[in-house]
Parts: sequence; structure tokens; C-alpha cells
Amino acid sequence: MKELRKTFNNELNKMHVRFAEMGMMTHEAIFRSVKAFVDHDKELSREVIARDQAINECENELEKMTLEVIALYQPVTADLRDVITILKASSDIERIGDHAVSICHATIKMKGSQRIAAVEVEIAKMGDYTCSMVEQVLDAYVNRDLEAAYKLAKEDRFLDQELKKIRSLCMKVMQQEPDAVFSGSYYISIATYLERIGDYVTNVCEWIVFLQLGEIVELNPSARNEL
Amino acid sequence: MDIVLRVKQIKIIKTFCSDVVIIFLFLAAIFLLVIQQSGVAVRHAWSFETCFLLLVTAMILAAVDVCGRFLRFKKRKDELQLLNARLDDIIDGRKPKHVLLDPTDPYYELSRTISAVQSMKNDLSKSFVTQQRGYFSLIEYLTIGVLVLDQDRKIYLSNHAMSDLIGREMNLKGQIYVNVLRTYELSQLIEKVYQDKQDQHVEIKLDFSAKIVDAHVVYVPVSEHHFLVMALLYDITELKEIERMQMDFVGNVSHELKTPITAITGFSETLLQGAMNDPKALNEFLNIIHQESLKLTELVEDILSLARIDASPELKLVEIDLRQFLIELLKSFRPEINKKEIQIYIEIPSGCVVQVDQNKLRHVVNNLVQNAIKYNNRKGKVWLKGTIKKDFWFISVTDNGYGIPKDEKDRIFERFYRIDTSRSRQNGGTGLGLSVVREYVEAMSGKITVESQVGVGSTFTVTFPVVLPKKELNNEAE
Repeated sequence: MKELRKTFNNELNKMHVRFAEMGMMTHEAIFRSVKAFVDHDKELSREVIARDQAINECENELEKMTLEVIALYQPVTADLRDVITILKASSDIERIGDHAVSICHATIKMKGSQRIAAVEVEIAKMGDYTCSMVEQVLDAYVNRDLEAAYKLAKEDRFLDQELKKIRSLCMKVMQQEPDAVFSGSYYISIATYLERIGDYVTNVCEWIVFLQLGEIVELNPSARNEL
Repeated sequence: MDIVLRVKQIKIIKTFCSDVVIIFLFLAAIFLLVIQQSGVAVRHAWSFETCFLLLVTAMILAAVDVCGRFLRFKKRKDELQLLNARLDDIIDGRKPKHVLLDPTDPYYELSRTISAVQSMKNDLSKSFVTQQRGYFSLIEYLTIGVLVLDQDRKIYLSNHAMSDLIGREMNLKGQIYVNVLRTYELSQLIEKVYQDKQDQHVEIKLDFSAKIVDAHVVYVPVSEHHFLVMALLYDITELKEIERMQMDFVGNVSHELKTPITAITGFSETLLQGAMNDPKALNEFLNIIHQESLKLTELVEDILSLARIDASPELKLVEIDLRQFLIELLKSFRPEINKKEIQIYIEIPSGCVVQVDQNKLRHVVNNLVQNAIKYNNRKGKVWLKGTIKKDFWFISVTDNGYGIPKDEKDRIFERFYRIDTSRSRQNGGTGLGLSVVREYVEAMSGKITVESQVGVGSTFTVTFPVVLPKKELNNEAE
């Protein structure tokens, strides 16, 4: 029995390390994609897109590992919650990586088009905010920090407001200057990606709550309806 | 405790019984011998009473013996306990009490040895503490980032430089390193060492602190089943920068010098080969040669002014009105401003009088305004702001032009550095402007800062103290 527990813990540790690595890669991806957008850096964008493959592989590997662990060890209570949370949170984190890639694609396509300075500043602000949210949620996850999870879920509201602000700003400029429509539409989609990342961060927060309390909760449920 | 007591009782009873048996047999033997000598028949003398008497005597003697033994044992035990307590004190690091024993005591030697052990241990632990202090402070103040992990991937030790390089607090003893680290490349490297048990070495660019490091991850075997993993990060950002600056400098200088020289050589050669007989070509070519030589002069001037600043920091201070000064200065930009249809806003209250080296400030502002116009779109805007605050005054030049990427913000002050070479070359200039500006501003004890975002525009701010530091004033007086 003791031996079994030991091997199970080993498996769990392995999964934990892999999950943390995936978090690192995703955090780097979003950090770099925001930087690439702010600096109009095509090279960096391409790098982020190329590296996304590693994040996807990591997710697949984690899926495989969790399923194996469930099948072989049939964990219960806290152990089961651990495994399930890794399975669910990893798919949320993988989606964050995908959105980082979308931002990079948009950055590449936008290169050379007419820019709207006011919007760029707002998006840069929103990007930095999102990036720090991703960092904080990873910290909250590894430290099993309930307080931080609740706080982060609330902070997601700020991104919703930013999205609204950017959208109306883009609309206004696009109505006045037809040249700006091309970049304007991209700005809106980039802002939407960032806002979606915020939602995924909220999802991970929900999983942190599940991990600690065993309850499936909906943090920040009203945010969706307002849009 | 109960069991120990029981065992003790059993032991005492056993000793008592064996004593009784031995003494009884001994007494019986003596009794038989005495009887034999006295000639009495054994059968008569050997009766139940004699046996009982012998047994009782044996029991009394045995009891006396056991009592004696017990007392001796007790005394030994007390002594041993004292010595033991002393050893315990040594182990726990307390200052042990002295135990004085009689030199004839069997434990005398032991107690002396214990004293020797104690003083040796004191010496050892003293030097150990000194070494440990030295070792920890050495690691803490080392400019190389150090992270030591135990075999369970937990942080054992991490220094200040490590936290600085990674961009987050790393000194969290006992945490699993993947929970704290946010740089995938480094974590991958460390993980590889855990798997292969072989040292790794790679160059990593750290995103969050914008540093380039030479990362060594080392496998340190401690014993058969124990090992440590050490990550050492050596910051080579500056080295890389210097290396690149040198390369760039040589490349740029030769390029900048070569272009006008090639033109001059080419056109003069054509002229010498007969083109000078054609008056039209002669005029045109001479013009080109003249212009190129002017460019060369400008370049040489710039290089010389860089060298001059290094040599002579003296300032010629005069009082000027900032607003007046800038309006005067902008006059020379009239043609360029009109050509690009740029709007200029001056937001400086009148009556701002400052003490400054007029020529140097003119050079600085000239350069900044020129850049703001040059790297701007048609119909762009330029704002000139400035005022006197409590103990400093500033001028800032803001434009809504191309902007500067984050990474290159620090590099624009390098000699001959240009952001986007293709576009900048079209716009002309020597690539020395901003580096000269910075040298001048620093010569006037000022500071220059940039804020910029690509596509949004840039703001250059030069800040000067109202009262210049003593040193410059002294130089002035001489």
C-alpha cells in the first residue's frame, strides 16, 4: 500500500512539473505576443506562433498522463480533485496560448497599415494587465491560494470594460476615417482575444476553488450578459 | 517505563536466586568437609534442620551481596548519567556543566575524553559558523545568479542576483522550483539535468528582465543517493551589447564614410576622364562632389564634437527666456515644417528664465526638434513643453510620428545607431545626433528620458537642475 502511494505521488509530481512548465510557456507566449503587438515586431510574432506547438503537445501529454493515473490508481477525494483540476485547467491554459497566437497573427497582418494611436495605447495597457493576470493565476494555482483566485476573478471586470472602451473608440475612428477600418477591425479582435484570455483566467480561478473546496462555482457570472 | 521496571525486578530476583544457589552449594561443601574432618558420620549430621539453616544463611548472604551490588550499580549509574547529560549538552550545543571526578574513579579517563571532545567540537562549530557566514554572504552578494535545488526539486538556496535576473522573488526555500520560475527555457534545462544527470550549458534570453544570460546548470552528487542541482546565471547582456556596439560602430562608420567618398571618387574620376570638357556635366558633377564633401564634413564635425565633449566639460552660462529662445530656434526649421505641413504647439509659459549654456542647449533642442519633424508623418504634430519646477526645469519634445520599439529605446543614444536602417537612410542624418545630445545634456548635469510607443509617437524630455552642481561652477570661475 505504501509503495502504491509512493508511485502515485511520483506520478502526481511529474504531472505537476509538466503543468507548471505549460504555465510558464503560456505566460511567456502571452507576454511576447503583447510585446510583439506593441513593438510591431513580426519576428517575435512568428516565434510565438512556432512555439505554440510545444504548448499543445504539453496539453496532450498532460491529458494522457491524467487519464492513465485515473485508470491505474483510481484516486479518490483530494487526489481525484488534483488530477481533475490539472486536466481541466490545462485545457483552459492551452486556450490562452491559442489566443496569444491569434494576437500574433493579427500583428503580422496589421504590419504597415494605418494605425490609431489612442487605441494602441489602450491595447498596450490591456495587454500588460492580462499578462499580469495570467502570471497571478499561475501563482494562485501553485500556492492553492483561494483569496487570490476570488480577487482575480473580480479583476476580470476591468478587461470587459477595456474591451467596451476600445470597441467604441475604434468605431468612432472608423466612421471618420475609412483608411482606419482595416486596422480598426483588427484592434477590436485583438481586444476581444485579450478579454477572452481574462475569461479563461477566471475559469482557472474556478478550478482553484474546486481544488480547495470541492465545489464547482461560477465566478463572475454576470460579466457575459453585459456585453 | 513499566516494562523497564519489571525487567529490573526480574534481573534483581535472578541475581538473588543465583547468589543463593551458589552460596548454598559453597556452604554445603564447606559443611561436608568440616564434618568429614571431625569424623562424624555424614548421614547423622545431614538433617533437614542443617539444610534449612544453611539455606537461610545463604539467603542472608545473598541479600547482602545483592544490596552491595545494587548500591555500587546505583553510584556508577549516577556518574554515567552525569557524563551522559554532559554529552547530550554537547550534542544540543548547550554549554555543558563541569563534572569533577576523583582521579581514582574508573570513569575519570572517560570524563577527560569527553572534555576534549567538547572543546574540539566548540572549535569546529566556531570555524563552521564563520565559514558558513562567509559562504552565504558570498553567495548573496555574488553578481552571478545562483539557485540550488535538492533532489526533490525544492529550492534550497537562491541569491539576490537570481531574483533580479528572473524578475521575481526566487528566495523561497522549500518551494518546488517550477512553482516559482516563469522562464520555460531555464526550467527545461533544469529538468533535463534531473533526467540525464549531466551538466547543461546554454545562452538564454530572459523576457521579463530583458537580460541575456549564460546559464550553467550543474549536477552535484553529494552521496550515493543524494544530489543537488545548481543553476548559475551569468549576466552577459552588457558584454553582448558592447560586442554588438563595436561591430555596429565599425560597420556604420565605414559605411557612412564610404558613401560620400565613393561618390566623390567616382565623379572626379569621370571628370578627369574627359567629362570636364562638357560644361553642363562639369557643373553638375562638381555640385555633387561639393555636396558629398559637405556631408563628410558634417560627419567629421559630429565625430569631433563627441570627442570634444569628453575633453572639455566647461560651460558658458547665460540667462535666457525659454519661450523666446525656442521661438527663435524654430525659425530655422520653417522650410521643413512647411514642406511636411507639420503643426507645432508651444506650451511654455513666458517668463521662464533659466541659466544655461546657450550653444549646448541650442544643439540639444535643435536635434530633438529635427528628429520630431524628420520621423513624423505628413501633417503630423509636434508639441514643445517646458517650465520651471521647484528645483529643476525641463523641455520636452513630443511628436505623434513613427515611435520607437521598446527594446531599442536605450539603443538610440548609441553612436551611429539607427532603428530602421532603410527608412532612416532615406531621411539622411549621420546617426550621431542623439548620442551627441546625450553627451551635451550630461555635460550640463541634466538627464534625458524617452517615452515612446510604435505608431503612437515619442516624447523626449531633458531635465536640468535649477542650481548647477558646484563642480561646473568652479570650472566656470577659473
